[in-house]
Amino acid sequence: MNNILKIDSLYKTYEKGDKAAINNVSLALQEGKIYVLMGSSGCGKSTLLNLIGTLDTPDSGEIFYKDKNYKSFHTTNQFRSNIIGFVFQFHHLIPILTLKENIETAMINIKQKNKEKKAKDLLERLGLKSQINSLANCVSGGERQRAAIARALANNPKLILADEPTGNVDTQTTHLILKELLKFNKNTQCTMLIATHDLEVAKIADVIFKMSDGKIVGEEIRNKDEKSITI
Amino acid sequence: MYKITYNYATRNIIRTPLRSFFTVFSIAMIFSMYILLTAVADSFTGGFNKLIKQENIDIIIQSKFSATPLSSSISKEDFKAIVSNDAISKYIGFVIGKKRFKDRNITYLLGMDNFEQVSKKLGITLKNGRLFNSGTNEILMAERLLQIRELKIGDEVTLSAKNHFKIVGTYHSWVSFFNSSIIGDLKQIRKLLKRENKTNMLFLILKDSEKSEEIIKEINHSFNDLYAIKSGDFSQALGAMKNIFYLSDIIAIITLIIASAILINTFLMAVYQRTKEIGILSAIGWTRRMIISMFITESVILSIIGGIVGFILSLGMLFYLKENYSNIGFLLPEGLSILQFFYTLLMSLLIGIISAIIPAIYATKIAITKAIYHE
Repeated sequence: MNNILKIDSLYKTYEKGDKAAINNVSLALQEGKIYVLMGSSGCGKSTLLNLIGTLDTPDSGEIFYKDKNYKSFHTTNQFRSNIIGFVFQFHHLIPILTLKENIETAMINIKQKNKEKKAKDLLERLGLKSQINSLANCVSGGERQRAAIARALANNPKLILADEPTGNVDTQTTHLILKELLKFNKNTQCTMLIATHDLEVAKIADVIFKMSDGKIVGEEIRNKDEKSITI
Repeated sequence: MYKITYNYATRNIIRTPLRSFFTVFSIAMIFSMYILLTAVADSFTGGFNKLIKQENIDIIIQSKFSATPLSSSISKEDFKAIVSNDAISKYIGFVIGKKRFKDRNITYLLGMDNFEQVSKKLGITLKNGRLFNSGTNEILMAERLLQIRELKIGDEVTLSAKNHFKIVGTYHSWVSFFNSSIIGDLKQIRKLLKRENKTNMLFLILKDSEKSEEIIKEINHSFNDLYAIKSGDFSQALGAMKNIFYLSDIIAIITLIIASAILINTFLMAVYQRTKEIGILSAIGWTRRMIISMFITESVILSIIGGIVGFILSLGMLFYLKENYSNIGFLLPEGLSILQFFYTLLMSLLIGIISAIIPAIYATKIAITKAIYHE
């Protein structure tokens, strides 16, 4: 399988920090696989996702998307809207827009008519049919997180970066979210990198990276048979 | 993305209703001031300019160092010498003076030669009654002034202790200045204003307009105390009065700057409050252009609503001033035109766009990771 993403000797230090948030990280992600980043709070999982997602820039080191160096990107917005699908820990929806409109905000290069159809379809799949036109600040935390998953899938991303996607939801919603991510992975061969503490999430991984103090300290390759959640 | 940008902008307006209301209210008040000021300036100078252009008045003469037409003075001898020139086809001599009523409201008295012949040239139309007879204490009163002072045709007005004038007719003019005035026989008004043998201004219509430069040179050379100019540039003849209108232009520009400052302040606050949302939108791929256009949409909606409300307010204020302050009636236009309405919309649009740009650019400069975790 081809590498979709390759990271080489990545460093990132924050202004006030006396130690590196990301310390000499190198890794490669293959197309279509699900990767899980595990580690304690503050070990650098979110920072690594932000760097891969072009939300932040590294102090040194290089990141390649399909052999194209990030440094060669003229603007990063297009990369984020066409290639990346983000799922944030606290859903990060726009509170004054409806769930449908929140999904549409991520569909930048799609015609309005198709946007509405696709947004409805995604929300239905995630069990939010009755909440399509509800404002984001009027639905429960679990519903918001499911809508955030729908938004991440809206632009058919090649790479999904999820930061604690099940961090604030109940077991039933966790299963629904994981099921939908697996289904999307199977249908589109999209690569996923999920930062989590949740052992349930780790069950869907092909590869588990263990992080500590900004470094990758372990890598566990799992068999397909070990995936305990089925679609 | 236009639909989602528009929806987001309108929801933001509704999200902070009190702030949106006061922003619109402030812009509306400022715009109403701006509209009134420009309308007054346009009405006063524009009316005269239109009159002169339409009626082919070629030359305007007033005394050289007069600050305004009111203080101008042309002697009887000079008047006669000028109008005796064979190149002149017609002339209109004016005596203008200010008169204060007992209630301290001011009217303008105009004494004219050959009123019957020149009334049309001055854009004056007899509405009711008849014209005044020469050599009598008969006057025409502007219809609006008559209504405000609650008088009727046949009433007598006392313009000085010994001078009682009878109203014999009413008139209307599209030159707003005339609509707060009283017009009478030149000799009688001269006597009243104690300006016997004097004329304030003289308008000349030449047989051949091409000769206007030549005649102007001749008059300016022969009459040291007088100043003749081409009618095309009448604003010069208004003398110091034009400075008042320059001042009104400056005030009008300042009001627009204040409107912009209010909007900029509103949107800088909005950027701070919405930092997290801006970060989210950037994270999912919104470009700088999209974020800027979102702020511009919101700003334009607020400023256009402000402009429309301001226009309606200025119409109300205009009506109120005309009804209650007859002494400044001559400065006020008859009404506001549809052109002024569209001009207001255009100004609102421009202010809306300009005011949103600085806060919107500032918004796009915030680091995404800082913005997302901003509380």
